[in-house]
Formats: sequence, C-alpha cells, structure tokens
Amino acid sequence: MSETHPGAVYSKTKERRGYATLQAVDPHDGGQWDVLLSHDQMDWIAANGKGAARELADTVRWSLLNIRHLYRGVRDDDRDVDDDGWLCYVATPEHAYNWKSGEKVRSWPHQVFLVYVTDERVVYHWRWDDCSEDDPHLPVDYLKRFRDKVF
Amino acid sequence: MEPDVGLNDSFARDLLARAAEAPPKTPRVFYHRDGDCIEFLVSDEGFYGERIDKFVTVYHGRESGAIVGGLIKGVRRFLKEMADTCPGFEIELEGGRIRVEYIVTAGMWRQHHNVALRKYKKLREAAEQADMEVEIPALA
Repeated sequence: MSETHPGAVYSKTKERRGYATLQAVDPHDGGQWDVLLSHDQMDWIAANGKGAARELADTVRWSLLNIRHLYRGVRDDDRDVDDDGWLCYVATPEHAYNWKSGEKVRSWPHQVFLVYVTDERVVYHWRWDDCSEDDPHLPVDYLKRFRDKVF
Repeated sequence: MEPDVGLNDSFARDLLARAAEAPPKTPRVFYHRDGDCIEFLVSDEGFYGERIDKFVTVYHGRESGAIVGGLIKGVRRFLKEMADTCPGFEIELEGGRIRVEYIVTAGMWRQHHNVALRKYKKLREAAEQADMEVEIPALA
C-alpha cells in the first residue's frame, strides 16, 4: 500500500538524496507532510526562465498548502491503472507569473492551478487548467479525471 | 491564517539563482523519471493545459493561442504496450531515445474521438516542427 492511501503507515517527514523537500497538505489528516521535488526537475524549471522558476517557488508551494480540493487517483476506464494512489492538489491562487517577463500578474480567470504528486510523494507536474462550468474551484471534467475526493 | 510561502527563503533563492536571465532555448524536452512523463515546449511563452485523455495534455500559449507544448504521461507503460502489440515499434527506440512525434503519433492511433484526434494531430505537427528526441533512461 502506498503512503498516500488511507490507513497507510507513513511518516510526516520525508527526505531523499537528489531531492528538495516541500511542505504540502497531508491527505490523511489535513495537516502537513513533506513531499519531494527532484533537483533534475528544478533544473528543468530553471531552464524555462524566471517566470517558471517563480511559479514553482511561489505558486506551486503555495498551492500545496492552500488547497481548494485534493483528489487521489487518476481515473481511466480503458486501461489498467497503477497510479491510483497519485494525488492532485487543486488551488486557486490570487496571482500567477508571466513566463516571459517573470512579473507577478493577476491569476488567470476561469482557471485553477493543479499540482500532481506520485504515490511516492514526489511532485512531478503542475499547470493552470480550465475550471469546471459548475464550480470555479474545480478543474474541468473533474468527475471523469479522479478516483477519490480526499478533501 | 493561511500558510504562506515566498520568494525569499533558501529554496526560492537557489531556484531563482539557477534560472537564466536570457530567454530559454526552444524547443526543449524533459523526461520526468518520477512521473514517467515527457514534457516538451516549443515556445518561451506561458501556457495553460488542456487534458485530451489520460495519455496527453496539450499546452496552449497564453499570448499566441497556439499549441506550444505538451505532456505525455505513462510513457514506460505505453511503450511496453506498444512493444507487445506492435513489435516493430522497438526500432524507433534506438538506445533508449525516441522522437517525440513518434510517441504522439502512436498515442493518436489509439484515439477514436474526432475532436481529440484533431488535437493530437496539431500536437504532432508542433513536435515535428520542433524536431526533438528524448531519452527514456529505463529503456537505454
């Protein structure tokens, strides 16, 4: 059983060589736990410029702690899945970053910010995505995309 | 009071120090080992994502509206499925490297919804024009 599943034995803290440690909402109790981010990915983001780097440093970390919703599992009716313990943190930050200029700007209307975490508690992807028509704090097609709503 | 973060701690300072002042090189591609996904960008503009299916998310440029990149998920599993069902596909995986448009094309051929197919096709065109290949370490 992965650490993200209900009833899993886990530690709040987590460290790994070659990874930075970030704080995020703990899906077990709504408190905080550690998640990881690889140095390779930090290099990739840094190579994308100041705006992307600020988005990671600010928007991603803020969203991991200030969720609107938290989902577990990626739903897929067509194939077997082995990522049903992966997490998606859903947030609506008040500001965003212009990737070209690096400037802080107002957040994008009708969009939510998603941060994805593997069942080994590694942050691997984030992005702005359109919100649902029936709830501005949820991503479009949220009913089809995730297996379980945690919060 | 909501938990806050900022741009002044050691994590942010380290990350921002690594970030180039010059515009990023394009195109660029990255294989995320932990997430088993390929991310590629053909522009330096910001973007938002549009999930096409479980395999592919298309990135739309905020200024141009054009497809400026994408995310391809479940790469190792997908390549294994391809190798099982289409053994000849392995010839495209020379030394663990694969051209991005090949993997987009392979994903597109499994798709049967017209709207999604058109988006796959545009994504493939962007990948073709960018002329990228990516190394999947587990396959090398």
